[in-house]
Amino acid sequence: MSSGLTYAAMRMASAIATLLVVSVVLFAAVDLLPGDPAQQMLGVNATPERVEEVRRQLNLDDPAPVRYGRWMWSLLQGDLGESVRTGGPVEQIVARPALNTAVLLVAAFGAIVAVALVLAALSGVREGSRLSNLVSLCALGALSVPEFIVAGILIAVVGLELGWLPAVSLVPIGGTPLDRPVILVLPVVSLAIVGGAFGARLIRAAVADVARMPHVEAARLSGVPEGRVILRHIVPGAIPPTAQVLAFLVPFLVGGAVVIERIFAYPGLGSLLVDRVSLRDAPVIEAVGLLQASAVILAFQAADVVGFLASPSRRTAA
Amino acid sequence: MTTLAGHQLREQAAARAARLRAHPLRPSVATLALSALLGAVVTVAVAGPLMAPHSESAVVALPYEGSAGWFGTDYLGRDVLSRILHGGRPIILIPVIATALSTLVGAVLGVAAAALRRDDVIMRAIDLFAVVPSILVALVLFHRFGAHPWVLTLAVVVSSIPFTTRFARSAAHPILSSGYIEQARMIGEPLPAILVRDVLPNLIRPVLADAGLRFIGAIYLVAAAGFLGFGPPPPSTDWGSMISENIGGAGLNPWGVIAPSLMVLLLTIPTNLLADRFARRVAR
Repeated sequence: MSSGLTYAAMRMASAIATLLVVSVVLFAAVDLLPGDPAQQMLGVNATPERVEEVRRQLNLDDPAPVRYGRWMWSLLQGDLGESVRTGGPVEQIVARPALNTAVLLVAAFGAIVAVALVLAALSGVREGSRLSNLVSLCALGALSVPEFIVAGILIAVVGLELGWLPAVSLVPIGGTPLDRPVILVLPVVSLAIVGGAFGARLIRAAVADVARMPHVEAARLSGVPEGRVILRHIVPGAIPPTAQVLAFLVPFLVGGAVVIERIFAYPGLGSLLVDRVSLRDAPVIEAVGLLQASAVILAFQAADVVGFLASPSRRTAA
Repeated sequence: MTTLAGHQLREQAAARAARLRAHPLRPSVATLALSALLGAVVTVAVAGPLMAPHSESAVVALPYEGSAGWFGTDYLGRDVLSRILHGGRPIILIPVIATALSTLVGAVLGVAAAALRRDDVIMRAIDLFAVVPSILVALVLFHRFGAHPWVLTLAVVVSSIPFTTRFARSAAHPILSSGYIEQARMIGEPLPAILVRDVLPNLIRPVLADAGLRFIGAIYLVAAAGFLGFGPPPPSTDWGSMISENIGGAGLNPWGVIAPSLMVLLLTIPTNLLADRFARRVAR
């Protein structure tokens, strides 16, 4: 077990290192690239005095590493700074959208895992069969469709024409999406159709790779019943690559959620990010970007840990 | 003796490349049909402005008038068909340019990583960027530089490079560790000559197959950026922008949304099916 703890600690350290590098790049991209943020914020008609005032307010005259250091230091104390456009602490601006997005992502991830596993099983049972080919063709077609088009069709047909589900996902004021779970249905379905198809193809490929391995063939030839071959030899070997596939779905989901939240007017991090990019509100953009990157990094680390725990070589060593 | 063996191995390498050249992939009916469809959509997109009955800014009827022209009018009363014909260029050109650039950079980095055998440093740096969703890269760049077409191109390139590099490296690795390359290295052939003469011919097809996948990702990002309101400056448009512009009036003139959505699908579905076929043949 101690090897497991060491491994977890190593993963943790590497996650933190990755996050640090991403934070430097993000800060550099948002804050340091050529161009004067103060001028851009105020527009070309601003007086030089006003630009100078904003520059001072944003501490733009300090050297870049000092500004990064200050940002990181207050970040570690839970202070994400102040919005330069609407005022108010960034952590308050970000908190509720982050919760809303987390609810959406968890629901969509659950739906995708279910869809992907069923599709992968359907098409993977007998490779080359008509059902298998049909499922993989449909999956390929589905993943060529951008989510916002799926969402547009769902809104037009299910939301407006049939009126079965709300076309706009407004969260009750002061409440959470879970107070009205029905608003989550269309956004989750939009994300799950494309994501599920994508996941199914990758999981199927991962399972097929394991099923072709010599030890599986050997087990079959030595008369192990098929059910046992699948349970004892294919499934354990397929867990690590499947975990990786599921981790790969997270950046896809985080990106897709930006567009989906926008189209359903869902008050999450994606909607916030798009609004603040239009307003050029750097501190909020940095905070949202860091949250999104953390979610993705966390997913990849979790997949590595699952792969480690499930790897057969570790089981024999223990 | 060494040189003789070297020659044999070198010939094997040349034969492998020649075999690939001599037997071009014989296209099936489905492949031809998909290519024709894709060719038609690309032609409409690129030559569209020449065929359009109206300019992209001309107001021809009341807003969301369903009966005017083929597809009616948009939220400002402009001809939807004309705007479809005007709005195809960015959604084709930006992905084409960006895919070419990112494939080129990725191939150079990937082969360098594989050839130098010190790839862990390069790959670790590259992997860091694969965790960032492409839409976030695009939005951060829009924040700094505004939503110009070249910023969008840069966003596509930056978010594709991790994937093109990783792919080129994994494709170059088996080639570089095969016998004929080892042999050429041992008899002192300069590395650049080996890369150009022996590695490149065997690398082109898999890298092209991967470029097909990147191209789809690029179309997605350009369409999504337009949809989020970061498309070309008005009155110019692209298909992604048109969907969000007209979604408010979808009940009055559904074609304002359906027509651009269909154009995006007619572009992405054949591209994806063709790229998948090509990738599978190459892998065989």
